[in-house]
Amino acid sequence: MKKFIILTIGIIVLGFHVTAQIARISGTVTDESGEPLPGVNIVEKNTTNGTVSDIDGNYSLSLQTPGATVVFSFIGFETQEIPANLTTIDVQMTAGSLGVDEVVIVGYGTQKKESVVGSIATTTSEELKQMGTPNLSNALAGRVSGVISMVGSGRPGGDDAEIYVRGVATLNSDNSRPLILVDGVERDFTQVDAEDVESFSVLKDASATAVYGVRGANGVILITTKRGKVGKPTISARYTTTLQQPTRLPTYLGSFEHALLRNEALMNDGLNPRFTEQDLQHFRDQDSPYTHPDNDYFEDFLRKVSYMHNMNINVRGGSDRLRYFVGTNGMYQDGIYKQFEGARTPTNAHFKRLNLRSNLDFDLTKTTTLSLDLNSRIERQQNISIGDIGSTSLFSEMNTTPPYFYPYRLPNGSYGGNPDGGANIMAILTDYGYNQVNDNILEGTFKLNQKLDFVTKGLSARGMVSYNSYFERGTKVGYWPPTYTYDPQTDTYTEITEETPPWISTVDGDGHRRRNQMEVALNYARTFNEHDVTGLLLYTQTQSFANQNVPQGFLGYVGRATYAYKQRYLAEFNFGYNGSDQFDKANRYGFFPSFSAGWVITEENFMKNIPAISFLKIRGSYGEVGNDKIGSDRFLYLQTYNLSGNYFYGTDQSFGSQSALYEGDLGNTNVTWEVGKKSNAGFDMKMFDSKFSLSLDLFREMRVNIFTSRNTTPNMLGVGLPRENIGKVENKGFEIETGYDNRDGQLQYFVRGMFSLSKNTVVFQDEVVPKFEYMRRTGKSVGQNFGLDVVGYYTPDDFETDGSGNLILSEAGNPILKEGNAVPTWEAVQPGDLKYLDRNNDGILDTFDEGPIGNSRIPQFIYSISNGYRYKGFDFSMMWQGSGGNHKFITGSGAYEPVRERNRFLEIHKERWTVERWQNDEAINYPRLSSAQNSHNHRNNTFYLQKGDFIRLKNLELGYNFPKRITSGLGISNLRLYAGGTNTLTFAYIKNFDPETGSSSGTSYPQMKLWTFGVNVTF
Amino acid sequence: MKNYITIIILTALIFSACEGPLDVKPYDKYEAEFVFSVTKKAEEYVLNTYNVLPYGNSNSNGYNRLDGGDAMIASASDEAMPNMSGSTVTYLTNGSLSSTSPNPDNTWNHNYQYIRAINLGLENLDYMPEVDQELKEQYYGELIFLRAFAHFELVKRFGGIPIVTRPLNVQEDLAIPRNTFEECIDFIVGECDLAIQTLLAPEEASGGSLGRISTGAAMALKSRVLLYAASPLYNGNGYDGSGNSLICYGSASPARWEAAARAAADVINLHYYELFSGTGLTDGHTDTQTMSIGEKNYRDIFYTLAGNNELILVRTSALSNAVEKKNTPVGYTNGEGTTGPSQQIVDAYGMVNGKQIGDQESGYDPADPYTNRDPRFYASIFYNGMQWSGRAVETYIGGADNATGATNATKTGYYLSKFMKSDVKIAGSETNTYHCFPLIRYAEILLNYAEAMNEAYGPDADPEGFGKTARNAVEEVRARVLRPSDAAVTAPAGDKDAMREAIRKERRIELAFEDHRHLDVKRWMIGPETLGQNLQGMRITKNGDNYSYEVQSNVSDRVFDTKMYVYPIPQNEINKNKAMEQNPLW
Repeated sequence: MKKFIILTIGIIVLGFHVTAQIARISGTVTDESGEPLPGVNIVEKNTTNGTVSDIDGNYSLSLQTPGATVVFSFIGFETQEIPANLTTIDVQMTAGSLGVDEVVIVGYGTQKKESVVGSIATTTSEELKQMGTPNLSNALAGRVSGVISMVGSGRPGGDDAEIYVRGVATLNSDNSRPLILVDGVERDFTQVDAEDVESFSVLKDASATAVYGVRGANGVILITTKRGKVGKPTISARYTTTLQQPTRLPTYLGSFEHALLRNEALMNDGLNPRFTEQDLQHFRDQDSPYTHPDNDYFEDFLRKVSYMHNMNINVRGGSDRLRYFVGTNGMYQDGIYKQFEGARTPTNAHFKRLNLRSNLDFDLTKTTTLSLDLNSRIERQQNISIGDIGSTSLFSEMNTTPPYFYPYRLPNGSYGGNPDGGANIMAILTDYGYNQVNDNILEGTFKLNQKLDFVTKGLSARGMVSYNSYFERGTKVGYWPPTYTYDPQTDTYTEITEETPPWISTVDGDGHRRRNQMEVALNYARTFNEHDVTGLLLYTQTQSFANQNVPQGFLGYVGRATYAYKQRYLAEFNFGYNGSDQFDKANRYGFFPSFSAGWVITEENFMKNIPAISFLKIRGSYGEVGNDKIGSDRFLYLQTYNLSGNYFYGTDQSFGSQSALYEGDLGNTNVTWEVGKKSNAGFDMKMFDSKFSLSLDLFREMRVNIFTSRNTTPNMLGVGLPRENIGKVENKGFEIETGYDNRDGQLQYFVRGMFSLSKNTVVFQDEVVPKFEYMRRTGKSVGQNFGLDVVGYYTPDDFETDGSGNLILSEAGNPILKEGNAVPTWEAVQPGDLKYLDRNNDGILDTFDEGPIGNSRIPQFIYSISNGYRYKGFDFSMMWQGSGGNHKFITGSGAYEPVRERNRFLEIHKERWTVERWQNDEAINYPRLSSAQNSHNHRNNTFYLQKGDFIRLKNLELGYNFPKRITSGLGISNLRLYAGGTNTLTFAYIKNFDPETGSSSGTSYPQMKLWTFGVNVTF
Repeated sequence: MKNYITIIILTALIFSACEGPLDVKPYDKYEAEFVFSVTKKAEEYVLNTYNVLPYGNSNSNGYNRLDGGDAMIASASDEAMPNMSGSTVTYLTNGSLSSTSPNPDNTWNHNYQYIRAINLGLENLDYMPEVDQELKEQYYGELIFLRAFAHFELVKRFGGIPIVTRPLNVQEDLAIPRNTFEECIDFIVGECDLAIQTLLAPEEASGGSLGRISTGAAMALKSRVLLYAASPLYNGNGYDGSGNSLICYGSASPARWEAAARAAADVINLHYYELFSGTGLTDGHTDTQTMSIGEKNYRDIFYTLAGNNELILVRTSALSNAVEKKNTPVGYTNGEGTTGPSQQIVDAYGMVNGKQIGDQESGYDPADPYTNRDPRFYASIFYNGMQWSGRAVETYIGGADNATGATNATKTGYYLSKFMKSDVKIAGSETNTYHCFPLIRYAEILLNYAEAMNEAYGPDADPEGFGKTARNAVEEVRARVLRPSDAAVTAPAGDKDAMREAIRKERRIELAFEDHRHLDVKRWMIGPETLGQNLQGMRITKNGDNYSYEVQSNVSDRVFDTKMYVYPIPQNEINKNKAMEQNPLW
């Protein structure tokens, strides 16, 4: 280690011998309208010698080689290369076409966009920033084709999206998440500030992901953060304030209607009504708030609007030796719980984040570059004191407590309670305290890049050491005040729940996690006449630590070779050779190759005559990629014995915990990774001066060796079966992206659209041959919903009646179904209950009648349409995003009528079946009400299965850039004001909750719509 | 030069990398050989196999609790009904049971899981250190016993089942056919005999070792198994009359009763076990003043661990009040009142004078039904007006424990109070107690003996010189709770049928709610008149200070079909095992 330090210092010292400058150029850079353009990068070609234009567009640069070519580049403008044959060079930059990035981030490197043959989608920092959300994972929807993102909750700090690349191709959706790397290291990316993001790439096909080998099968997302650029410091500051509102909240009925319907439900089941005429009168008149309250919890306890503030300041620049990007970002997001006077502690949810980032690149010598990236972040989440930090208790209380249940406060100031349980929400938000979780995150990377042109031209080597350290701990403060009921007649209080004195405790949270990663690589890139050749050989290893667990290891060798002839014919070979400690020694290493080829047709001479088509490339790839995410139990290949539980014997205190040991699930030494065999074909085209673009990708994947359990072994075996690599799933689909960008003239505009579809089919899983073919899950999609088909409601016509039309009751007091009706087996039915399809026509309704209904939970298709205009300083853009082809069961308190004293009635319950409503031909949209969990109606069936399709105005932004002539007087190079909206309009089949909700009963923290106002200043 | 230095650094990094981050092993998991070569670990392994002994979802609930720990299997017999709405136990009583519907009492997986664990233990015991030879033999006996016990748990539910005596291998052909009923019985009895050779003696399995399996337990299991085998369900042509060897012997033989009598006599003649009748104010009991000696003697069986020589095979629980919570009537804070005893079982309890309530001379008054009843009634049933925890139990319509619409309110007018300790607090500053759940207790052995002796030799004969007649054994059981003069059984001398009736009645109340009744009525083949009868309850109305009592003829529909004498083999096992045969009529 000591030697290493000496060597490093030595390298730094040696590197400071600099060559003398020989010539000098200067001039002014302007844009098309002649306005001076500050901040343009001006670099001597093939060197790191450069500068940037100042506020008046002026620059001067001393050249290392007289007469060298000078490169002028600026984001959004065409890059120009001009030979330095004059001492004064004035340059007019022309705007480049939007969205055309020269370089694409690929696995372990970068490639020129034109020569990429893999299927890679990208988005820009600008687009991600527009989304206004503090969580980067929420900003993806609709931005990148082939990426499905579902946001289940809007809780500050707890709003990570569920992300899938090209849908799902394996049997367990937990194992189907993509690999996500930030600056080449597996890191938590959700809290990276969008401002700090330089590029965002999604690698989809085998050609792009094979280098990630055993971890690449579910797709890979690469995020790079900004780095320094040679030039004067550019200071950029952004401040936004955001108004948050729930996208949707369910509408529940008030006390009077609740009481009426509850009575009806009880009477339907032959029970006595719960509420008397007098009760109903009180509810109607609202004249007895202490005994007959009518609470509106959402109104009383949720804010109309809550705020979020986000600030980012960064400085980017560099000299000939050092380039830097340093920045800080602070964010505060408030929750939507109301706060009340006299609260013991703040109880509202919130999320705070402070982030410091420093990406430094030093040129130690002409050939050696050292980079040091340090990113540290502290985060704090707060939520109510009940449950863990992700607790949805507050929402489940609001969603399940009937409106009459208790008055919030009694005349003497104490809290109201109810013998049937539940916590007083007013007390939760005033006295219960809070749960806070603090996270400290430190991420650091040290990189050394050495050009080895002296060995052979074009060769370079690099090494990287990196670590991530996460630590999470929290504090919980609690106090449960007593609750009472109050009788105004006698002015007496009866205690319902006892007081729990104040307490404070430590929340362990995730504890300590650490990941160390190391990488060394050899790179080769050289052009021989018309042949472009590149190569890469890389070794990487990772070790992860989490609290007391045995560290988890991974290592891999990576190779890539690319060849291009005349920029016209492209070929690429990639491989990953990986080992993972998930597997037995004999099966530890896997080889994952991929091949791809492309043809840039527009480079051919015969295409030069067709000026309309400015670019056309066709490409194809085939390869194999692995997935080693096979569940949380890591040593599946070992047969182990586990301690668990205990057995009691003996007569007195001497017994107690006699620990017991048992044989764990059988080991399977053959455990290995899943293999995705992927093929991809597509083309990219640009037409009409590159204004029109179109890309299409077709893909097919056969995922084999899916890790799943056998289902055909008798339970007589008596032990948990090892899972085996036996499943097979096919996933196929396409992605299409198209757009039209017009940047000519005063009014500039664009229209873009994308559509992705993926559909999977279970080809094999070890399934017992079911009694009926429709029960078979093989051949259907992963996660296909199963249930009963509702064909209508039972009506009195379905039952035996006596002469006067009254229902005849059986001995046990149940109506008797007429002959010919299939007999339900769950419980006795009565008119108004759901009528199911007797799928197998056996005259009996039972679980054998459950067949596939709807699709699976994960959307099959996603799409977005965006559109924007720019006129003078104004710009406007919007994006509509939608997804569909999926179904969700909405059950429990999100759909059922109250099945016990707690729970609430929804609007739809007013449209229930009753004999009067049926006779009057009124709209009937709900079965008759039950007083308890109705095992006939409350089943997985088509009635409770809802289409997940939705389309929403995902983003809306209006901005204004002040003219340079105004701002430059203030020393500001750019000043922008903008206002935007996120999720502001939603159209969906699921009405009561946000369509992306993660909870089937809708009791998660609601997803938010955001109104953002921001200012951006660049100096 | 500096370039070379860089190369050296990079190379150094590569070499430092090759330390093998993949070479890790879990510290907290063991392999078989290690487990058994350490005596402490071997003991832990054996202890885990004890978990095959039936209990609910938690070792504090006692017995064979089904339905997530709320319902008792008693609620699937004519003893009771579950008070929870939608309890899955009703699948066993409403005729909806089929091979594909979930069977709440399906212990197939549980028992085969432990049979495997036991077999694996037997295979590896030899790794135990030489010095612990004695312990090794004890563990051997325990494993053999538990394997026999698990097999019988399956046999009494399903008939003949595949006997498994080695750990099966997932790769082998698992199409294993069922053994015949006779093979199963012979196997279980043989294993009991084998286990007896190395198990602890009864006196060693007490005190700190109470709950460990003793020779007495093995002999007692043998008594139970042989009694079942001699019973009409099996000792003949089977419930469907086919003589199918999977479910019966195919022919009747009185010798089976003789074998059963001898097995019971062997336990009795150990002269170690006795009916528990703790005298004096042991155990901190506070209610003695309001409790007769008989009631207290009987109640105490279920939480007295020290000096309780009635326990032959027992599961003990940690300090807990789960049993009290599960059973306390719903009007008490935290009372869950999950079980509603039937009018049938209430009527089966005689009077304190030993007579049945139907007897003219019993003194039973239908208008005051809970006075002067058999002490075991008071120790088993919560009835209207019973004093408990500072107030009278109110199960009358609208009473505190039978409020309209209250969760788990009784539909029978009763709650279960057996197994509960009366001074345990379940609300406020809660208190706990130890419990024990006898899986086999001496009273059962006496009743096994009485039943087998009566069938083999009649009520008053003891030709083998075992030491007592059938009548003696029944009276011994009764004498714990009744005055000696009232304990006499009134069946005429030599009247086998009357004695059979008396024995069955005695067994019904003595062993009520202890997982016996639903199987006893099946082996006696009296399903239609017991399990097939709708459950009765008591509707109690309060008029001023008086109550009126009205028997409800049907508080829970019951269906019994001949095939229900056994459970169907789970369809999944048939689907997955080509050699598996379904039970007749299913």
